[in-house]
Amino acid sequence: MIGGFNNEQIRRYSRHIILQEVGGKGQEKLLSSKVLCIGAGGLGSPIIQYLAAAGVGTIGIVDDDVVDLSNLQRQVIHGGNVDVPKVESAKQFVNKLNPDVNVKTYNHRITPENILDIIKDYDIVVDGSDNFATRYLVNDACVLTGKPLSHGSIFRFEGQVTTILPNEGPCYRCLFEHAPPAGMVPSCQEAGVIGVLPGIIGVIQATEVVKYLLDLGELLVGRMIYYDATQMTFDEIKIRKNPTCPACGENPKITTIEAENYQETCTL
Amino acid sequence: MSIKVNLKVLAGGTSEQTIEVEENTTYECLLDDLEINQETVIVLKDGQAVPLDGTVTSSDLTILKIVSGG
Repeated sequence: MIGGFNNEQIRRYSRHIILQEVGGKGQEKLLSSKVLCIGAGGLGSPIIQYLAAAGVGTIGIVDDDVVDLSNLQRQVIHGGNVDVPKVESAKQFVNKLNPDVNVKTYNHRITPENILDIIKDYDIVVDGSDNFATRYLVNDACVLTGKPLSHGSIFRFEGQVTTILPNEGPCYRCLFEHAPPAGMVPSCQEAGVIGVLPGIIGVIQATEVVKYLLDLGELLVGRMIYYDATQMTFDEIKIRKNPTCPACGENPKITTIEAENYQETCTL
Repeated sequence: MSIKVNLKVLAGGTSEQTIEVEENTTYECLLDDLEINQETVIVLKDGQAVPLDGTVTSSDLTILKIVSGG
């Protein structure tokens, strides 16, 4: 034992520990951190994979789905686990990769009824969900509770990623105040997605989480990265807090989580 | 009198163009001219989404698609 690490941990995390910006103290921070991943699909796979490899001590995973063969084109942690609940499959993957990580599974949807109780135990939330209702629910719950949130979303060949620090920068609703009408924006299931895309966006989200936990560098607060895989371009979009934002504006309309606001079409 | 607008479109790919629109053109009309469904995008000016019934002024605009896939 050296410091708080055993010999295996010193070897496992040596490339972190020798980084001046991380060091032993940073690695200890990671090992004592708790991160909640909403979704264990395309985005969730690389997020979970890299956070586990980094030694984030507790990873919560919320997903109510089971692994389908069509997922394996991009959901790289679920190999050999068709028909297995995704949270169980993800837990198996993490246990093999890094026994230091405690995985807490939630094999159900995140809902207006359970979200506040679930997110309260975590240092930061990572949104890798696949529908607008969940995205707005997660944003609003994080804003109301002051919980940091990494947002990522993908579609066909394009991806978007930003980091939300409530009270410091804009939230998702500052940008996209309302969900589009139902059926207006097709899902990845309907329109397709290139398999490598969630790897890029999910790893950026995992990078932001690690940086937040280590208090390192500049986060994507007030900035969104738009990635276009066909052109291989990354555009940075400046985003500002919206004074009339219904979630974090000067007179917010959303002061509690009400189930009727998070139907498939999102009424707010 | 027309107004020059530098436009970046981040929706189903990336494109940049400079266009001229008539004075008092609304953002809704601009999107219609570009054949972009206004229900699926926001128009950003100086980092903030503009109301689509507002009028276009000479500036740099970004049109950003909303996506939810994960």
